[in-house]
Amino acid sequence: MECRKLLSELSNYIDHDIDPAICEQIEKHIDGCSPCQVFIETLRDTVRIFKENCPQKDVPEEAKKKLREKLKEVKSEK
Amino acid sequence: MIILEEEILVKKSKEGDFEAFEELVNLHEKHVYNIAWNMLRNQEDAEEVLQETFIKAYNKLNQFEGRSKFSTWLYRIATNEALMIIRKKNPVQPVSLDEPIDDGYRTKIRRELIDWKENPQDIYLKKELKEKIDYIIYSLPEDYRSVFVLRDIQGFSGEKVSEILSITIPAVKARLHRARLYAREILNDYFKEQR
Repeated sequence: MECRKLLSELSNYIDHDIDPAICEQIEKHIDGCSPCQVFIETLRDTVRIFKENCPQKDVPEEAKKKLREKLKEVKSEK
Repeated sequence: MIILEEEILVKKSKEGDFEAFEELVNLHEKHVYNIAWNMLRNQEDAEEVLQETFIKAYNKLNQFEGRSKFSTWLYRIATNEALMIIRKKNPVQPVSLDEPIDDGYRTKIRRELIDWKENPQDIYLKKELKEKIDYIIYSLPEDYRSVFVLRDIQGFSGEKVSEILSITIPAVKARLHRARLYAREILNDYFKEQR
């Protein structure tokens, strides 16, 4: 497998959502290709960095209150 | 269990039970808020999307036929509301991800062996990284942004994202891959500057 062909499959590879035969080809390729090994690692890091730096936020209490008040208004207008 | 509870609440809400609809709000407001927040990276806009999403859902509940899960339908409304704000504001000219991407990787990135070691102790660097993250999300074209946020930040499955956005699973995978490559490139430059 060429580096170029590998690139198109990398997201599927890091998501473990890939045909086993292609997975085997990728692993065989990266065994002898350090730039591709680094590329895969940094792609994995990219996904991890977003996960770690974008934690789920709680809805602010004021926004919750406003939403419920607004919905009551909409209900009474119906 | 949750799905069954949701179906009952939707049915009751359609029959005019306002408390049942409030329960649906309790169940889903955090997801809706976070979808909006992560697409827009702005609290005020996220709150607007939160409000508009549930008002629309309440007013259009009778149009929900139950072919998808209620949450899928609701998150679609939220995503569309967020996209409307992006179109209205368009704070950063989005990059084009439609061009072939192979050349850059062949000639440049593949040959770079950048050390991506982060230093979480350094508050300033952490702040810079967060700004980079904001920039990446802002500059992604909307089709890519919604897939990237729903899949990689909200953590929904590819199937769920395809249902929310009404696109095929291969389209989800293709957009996600391009968005990740774009994000990787920006982060690679960032870590290169930190060395």
